[in-house]
Order: sequence, then C-alpha cells, then structure tokens
Amino acid sequence: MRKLMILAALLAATWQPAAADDLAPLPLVLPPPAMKGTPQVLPTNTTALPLTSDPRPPFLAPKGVVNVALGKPVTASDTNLINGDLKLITDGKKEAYEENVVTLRRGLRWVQIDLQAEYKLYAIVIWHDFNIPLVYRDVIVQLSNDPEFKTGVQTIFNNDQKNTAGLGIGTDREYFENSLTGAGKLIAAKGIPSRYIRCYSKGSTDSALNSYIEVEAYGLPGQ
Amino acid sequence: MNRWLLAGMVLLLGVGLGLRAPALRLRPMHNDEGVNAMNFRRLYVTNDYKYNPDEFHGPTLPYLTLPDVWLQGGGDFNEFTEATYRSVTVAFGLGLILLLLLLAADFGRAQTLWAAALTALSPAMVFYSRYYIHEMLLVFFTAWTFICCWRCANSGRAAWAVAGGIGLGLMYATKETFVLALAAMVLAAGTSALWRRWRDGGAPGFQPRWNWRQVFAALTAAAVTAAVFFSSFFTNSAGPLDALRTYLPWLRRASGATTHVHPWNFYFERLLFFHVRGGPIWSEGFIVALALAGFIGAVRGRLLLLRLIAFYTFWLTLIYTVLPYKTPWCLLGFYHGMILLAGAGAVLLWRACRPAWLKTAAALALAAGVAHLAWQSYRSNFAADSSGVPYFDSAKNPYVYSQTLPDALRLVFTVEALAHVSAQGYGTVMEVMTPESYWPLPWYLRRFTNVGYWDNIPHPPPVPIGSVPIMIVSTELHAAFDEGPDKTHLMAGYFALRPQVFLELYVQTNLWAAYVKTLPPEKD
Repeated sequence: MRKLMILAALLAATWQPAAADDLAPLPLVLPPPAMKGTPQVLPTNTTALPLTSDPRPPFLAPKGVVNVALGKPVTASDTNLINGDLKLITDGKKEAYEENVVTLRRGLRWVQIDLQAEYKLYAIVIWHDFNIPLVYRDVIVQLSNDPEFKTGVQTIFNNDQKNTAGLGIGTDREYFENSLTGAGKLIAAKGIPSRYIRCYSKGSTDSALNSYIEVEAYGLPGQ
Repeated sequence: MNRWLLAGMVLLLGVGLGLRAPALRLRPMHNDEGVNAMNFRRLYVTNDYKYNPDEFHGPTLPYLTLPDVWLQGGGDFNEFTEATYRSVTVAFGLGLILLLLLLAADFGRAQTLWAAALTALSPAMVFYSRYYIHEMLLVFFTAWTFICCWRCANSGRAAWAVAGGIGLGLMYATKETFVLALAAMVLAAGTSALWRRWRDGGAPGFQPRWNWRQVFAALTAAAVTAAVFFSSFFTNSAGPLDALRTYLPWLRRASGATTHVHPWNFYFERLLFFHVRGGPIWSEGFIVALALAGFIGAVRGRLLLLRLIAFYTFWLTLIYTVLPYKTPWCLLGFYHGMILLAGAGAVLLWRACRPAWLKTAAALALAAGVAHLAWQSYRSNFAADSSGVPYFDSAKNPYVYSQTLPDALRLVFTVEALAHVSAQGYGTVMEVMTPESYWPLPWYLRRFTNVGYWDNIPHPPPVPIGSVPIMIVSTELHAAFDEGPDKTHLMAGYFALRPQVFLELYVQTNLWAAYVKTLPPEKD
C-alpha cells in the first residue's frame, strides 16, 4: 500500500504543470532577416499589428523540447504544386531563398505534417515566404491525432474572421511575415498531445498563392 | 440693368452652380463639418443651441441652415446627408457671384463680369463652397457689408447704411475673424484718403454722402443683428456677453497656441505654386497676376472704389500673412479681394493691348487662364490621381487639410451592419476611445443612442470592457482588447480616420459571428 502511495505521489508530480524552473526559452534558431530598413509600402487592409524589427520576447517551454517536425513527412491539399517540394517544409532550411520555398496553388490550401508519433506540443512556428513583408490570409493551425482531421481536432490559431474556410470564426489577428527579423509566427500549443499538424492559408496580401518555407513543432514525446 | 451684363451673370451663375452643386456627398465630412452638423442638431432636434465662446465659431451657420433644411422638406435629422449641409455654403458661394451686380454700376460691367467669372471658377472658391464651415458665409457677409457701405457713401441713402449694419452684425455672428476684415476695411479707408491727398494733391474728387445719423443707424442694426443671433433669438441672455468673451481664447490661438501654426508663405504656396511629390502642380497664379495688374491700376488711377478694394486686399493679406494661426480656408477673405482686383486687372490688360496681334495674344492668354482654373476646380472636386485616390481627399490638393479619409466610411458601414444584426439595433452600446479628435464620427454615428466618447481607456471602465459590444479605439492606446484570456472580442480591422490617425474596431465575438452570417460568400 505504501509503495502504491509513493507511486501515486510520483505520478502526481509527473503530471503537475511545469514549474518556472522547468521552463527555458525555446531553442529556436532564426533565419537571417530577408531585408533591412522599413519598407516604403506596407499592406494596409489587415488586422496585423504594425511591422517591427524588435525581437520577439523569449517564449518559455519545458526544458528539453526539440523541433519534432524536422525531416518528418509532409502532405498537402494540393498535389499540383506551383514550385518546390513539400519536403522543403520540414528540411530545417529557413532562409528566405527561392530554393527553400514551396508554393501551393490559389485558394484555401493546407499542408499537413505527420510527426509519426504523438508529442506534447508547446509551440508551432511557421515561416511562409517572408522575402517581403506580407500578410497571409485565413491562417488556421490545427492539431489532431486523426490524419483526416475529423475527430479530436484542436484549433490553436485562427485568424479567418469571416469564416471563409468554414472552420469557425477566428478571433486571432493577422500578422506580418516579418522580413526584418525572420522571426516566423510562433503559436503557443499549450502541451496538446498530437501527431498531426495542419496549417491552412488562403493567399496573401501579395498573391493568391500559398508559399511556405518551414514549419517547426517544438514538443516532447507524448508517452 | 444692362441685358448683356444680366445674361453674362446668369451664365456665370450656371457655371458656378455646375462646379459647386454636383455630388456634394462625394467627400467625407471634415471634422469641422461634423462639429457644425452636430451643432445644428442642437438647434433642430433638441432646441437647446447656445453660442459657445470657446469653440465652434458663430451662430449664423446653424441658424441659416434652418431655411435650407425647410426648403428641402425638413424631416428627420438622422436622414440629412452631407449634401443637406453643404448646399448652404453652395448657396452663399453663388450669392457671392450675385452680389457683384450691386457693384457693377461703379466697378464697370466688364470688370464685374470678369470678377464674377473668376469667382465662379476659382478652385479655392469652388472647393470651400462645398464645405460646411463658416468661411464662405463670412466672405459673403463681408462683401455685402463692403458693398452696402460703398453704396451708402455714394448715394447717401439710409437703407444702405442699415443693410450694411445688418451685414456687419452677420459678419460678427459668423466668425471671430470678422475683426480682421473690419480692420482691413478701416485701414483701407484711411490709406485711400492719405493716398488721394498725397497723389492727387487735394484735387476735388469723390465726396462721400454719409452722415453720422446713418453711421448710428448702421451700428444699431449691427448690434441688434448680432444680439439676435448670439442670444439665440432672445433665449440665451449670456450669448451677447459671450460674444465678447470669445476673443480671449481666440486671441491665444491667433498668437500661436494651436496646432494650426504655419509659416508666412502658407497661403501664397497654395495660391501660386503647390506641388506635392507625385501630384500635379496647382496654381491660381493667373488670378494673382491679374490682381497685381488691378492693384497697380488702382493705385495709379483715380477710381476710388477700386482703390478701396486694392488697399483692403493689401491690408487683409498682410494681416493673415503675419498671423501664425493659418488654415487654408482663411485665405478666402483676402483672396476674394484679389479676385475683384483681378476682374479690373483683366480689363486693364485687355485695354492696354492695342495692336490686333497683341489683343489676340491677350485673348488667348486670358482664355487659357480661365480654362486652367476651370480644369483645376473640376479636378480638385471630382477627379482622382493615377492610383485612384480622389483629389478631394488627397494631400496633393492644396485645399485639403486634415481631411477625413474614405476609410472612415468603411468603419461606419461596418458598425452600421453590426447594429443591424444586434438585438439592440442602434441602441447597441459603443465606446469610442481616442486621444485625437474623434470628429466627424459623432455625426456619422448619429443614429446610435448609446455611444460614449473618451480621450483614453477609462479606468475603471463605466461598464466591464468585456460586455461592450463595439469599441472603436485609437491604435495609440494599444488596447489589445482581443488578447484577453476570455477572447470576448476580436479586432476586426484598422481604419484610417485621417492621415496618421488609425482606429481599431473591437467587436464582441458573438456579435461578429452574427454579422459574418450576413456576409455574401467570398469567391476564390
């Protein structure tokens, strides 16, 4: 009985939320900025906060998190790519060079990463093409253990305010692909256990096409 | 009256009307226009309009809007449009052309027609005739007063003295800056007398026929007229005293305690050569050049009326140039004098060109100048630049000043649509928070009955922020109402009220969801 109590106490300790001492800044390596200075003309018809070259505050996640999406297989709603290869999205190369960009056709499109196992995810970081400051429309990020995304879907980011994607009204703001810092868009995932990540978009202020450079997922093994 | 003069005036009135009256709703209300329209609301709806000595200028504008509204059938204040108000200033802009008929006998028929043509076509006169502010009324009443005084002095008839007095009272009750025009008139009379003595050596000339009884009648008429308006037709006893007290705050502004401080050449830049990168060149130099010819003709000639106009224009231009407080519409006062001088200048120029070839060249130059004015008037009110931005709303236009942007109408449209899906309709609670001027939003949001206006985010808020369905907040306040843990609101968009003044629209998520259902499906 005493052994059982000790085991229960150990389990409880394991399930407690991470204490401050257990947290550390995300081991995120940013690509170099794509441009310097303030661009003359910025998109205006957007809910995005103004573009800034200030660094993002450190994001704290449990110690030991790594990019569990690195090298993992990627699928997409669109098999007829404009350019690039879906593998580029998880190849670890984040510089805003043309050879790192994969482009899907116009309209609402998604890319999906199979982490090949369940992970507790704490942050998703997305780099669309950030060669110039632009705003991607209807960005939605969902997590699930179902590859079809029919069950157990959790939406962790949605700025589709007019529900054009039909996935619910988004309450998040749009954001600039920050070519001044190369910071990407960091989305908190709150330790949700998932195997699949799906990222939607519907063109940008610059083009109707959907371009990606990299998606990273920071997590710990789920089991 | 000469039938050619009459026919010419009718034609020029038609031209003036054609440039002033169409599409009065095109340009969004300027913040001052919004203030004036809501002042009219106090007169028309709640019947509690009182002259405010600290702000908003004189009472003639709201009171003279009344007959205009009645002529248009009256009705619900909320249904009045931009055109309802601007038609008042259009009427006074046209009246300024008509007034010249009273001057024709002494000024000369050709000179009168030229002055009428230049008034009808001047881009500044056209632009601000379509602007619901006090300036066009002030210019009209000033011209009326000037003409009546002249006719009284010329004819000795007391009726002109009384009419001039009424004009003076209306000037007073229109805008505080009437004192500048009055000072210029007095200075012009004095300078004219001195000039005559110096140049003509006391030779017999014009003998004014006024007498002190007429002066007394004129001043009495002026005092009564001003008192009637300032006292809100004898319902506000403090009004006439406030009409004197008002000069304390306005003197502070005139001396520079305001954001409207500009260099001495502010008006000349707009009238002579105005060019913003990427925009066209604007110039009313044609009128100014003719005015210069008219001025030279006036001081060299013996026509007292022209000399009075010349010195009046000189002094008023000098006064407005020296004063640090400047807004572009203030130029109308002295520019009207320039237009009258230009009318005389055009005739002088024509008569000075003796040989036929020179007359032909002068005719071509005058025609080109007139056409250029007409084109600029059209462009400043109805045309757009190559990127589709209308000049009436562009910094490339010399007469656009702190103008409300069309984006503000997109905000109003969205808020109206939200009200239509809200159970509370126009009773939906809305809070507007901005340290900058929020005008003309109160006029655009006039149908809403529960709007609060704040110059900051109130601490503590009168009601919990989470329960306010709609909030319009300046980006300067970094409100981030969409980042609360409960996600009660989303930030539905940025809207530019004026250049560099941006507002965020926060909407409760459930209200937004109801609104989204009403939107047509988006096409790929």
